[in-house]
Amino acid sequence: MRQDGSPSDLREGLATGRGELTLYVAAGVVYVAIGVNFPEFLFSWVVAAGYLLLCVVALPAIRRRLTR
Amino acid sequence: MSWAAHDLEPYVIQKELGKRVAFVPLLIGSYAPDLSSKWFVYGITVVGVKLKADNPAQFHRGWPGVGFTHSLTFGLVIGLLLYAIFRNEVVAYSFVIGQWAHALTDTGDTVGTMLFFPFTDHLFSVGAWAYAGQTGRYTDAGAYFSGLGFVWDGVFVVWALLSWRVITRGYFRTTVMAADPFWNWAGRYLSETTLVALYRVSYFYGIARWTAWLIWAHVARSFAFDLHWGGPGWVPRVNARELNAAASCRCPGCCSMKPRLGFYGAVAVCAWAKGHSGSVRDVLRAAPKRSRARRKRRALKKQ
Repeated sequence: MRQDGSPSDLREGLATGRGELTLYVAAGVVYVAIGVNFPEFLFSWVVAAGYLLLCVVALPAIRRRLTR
Repeated sequence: MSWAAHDLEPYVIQKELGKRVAFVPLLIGSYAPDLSSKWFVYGITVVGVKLKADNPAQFHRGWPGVGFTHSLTFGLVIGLLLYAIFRNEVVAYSFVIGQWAHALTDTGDTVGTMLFFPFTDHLFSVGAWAYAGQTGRYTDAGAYFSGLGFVWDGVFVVWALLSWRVITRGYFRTTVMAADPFWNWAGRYLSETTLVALYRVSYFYGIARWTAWLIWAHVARSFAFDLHWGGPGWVPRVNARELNAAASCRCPGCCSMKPRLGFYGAVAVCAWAKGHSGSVRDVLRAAPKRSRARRKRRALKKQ
């Protein structure tokens, strides 16, 4: 760990945040697919923020609650 | 205009400056010049009424218009207002840095920005890619992602990916939260996972949007690549010389300068310099003493 709180190298970073990274990459792939087919979706920062929060915060929380 | 650079600039600046900047004002500064103007440039329909600027380039970047939002002075004025409200200099200059990054980046297209407004309304332009805001947002997107604009954004995409450390949770906790009061306030209501996701939104948006527009322009549609300077040639573009008052000027910053405003600006700079001359002199006088003390400390350490 470095002084600024970030991992010392990429390998350490991937080891600690692999699950989270997978979630963001999957959200990104779906976002790009939707955006290419419906480009209107790409114009709004607010829509992107809502989409990201849904994918990486709300859906995993719902899944955790259901599998508990 | 840029389509992804303004989303990613705050992260690369954050990487370089660490705890010396506050992220939220930096991001707001980076978006500020276009916040109030983009919708009117492309036009929107409200209750069946189409609202659009008669001359989108003039409205967006020129004067009369809201082009002053792309000037360096605008950043300074809003920065001073933020300082007056929050009494936090990091918040104030973070906004200024973000807004200046936006204003400087937008000089890359063929219209450019009025960097030194109100001292001059001249548009400073590098002219690397075509300004085509007047053609509507889809043609503008197609043109931007077919010319050098997407290459410029690509530089920021690569730079942001190389700055991956700034989006890690540990960096957010140790560096971003420590420098920016917004996150501590928001942390009272939201979980850390939500805060981190909010912090990463523009990073995600910039990279995903750049990828999506590139695929849309060349796979879903077939806009032709034209990486010539000022291209693509197939789109009707607006040039700075069509909007500048002194079109034939060789030294653009000077020729359309309003003499009275230039004079006021010079007086203000002189007054500021005179007011600070005492403190500058003190710093200069103290510098040799400090370096002598530093040398002594190093010598003692070596011993």
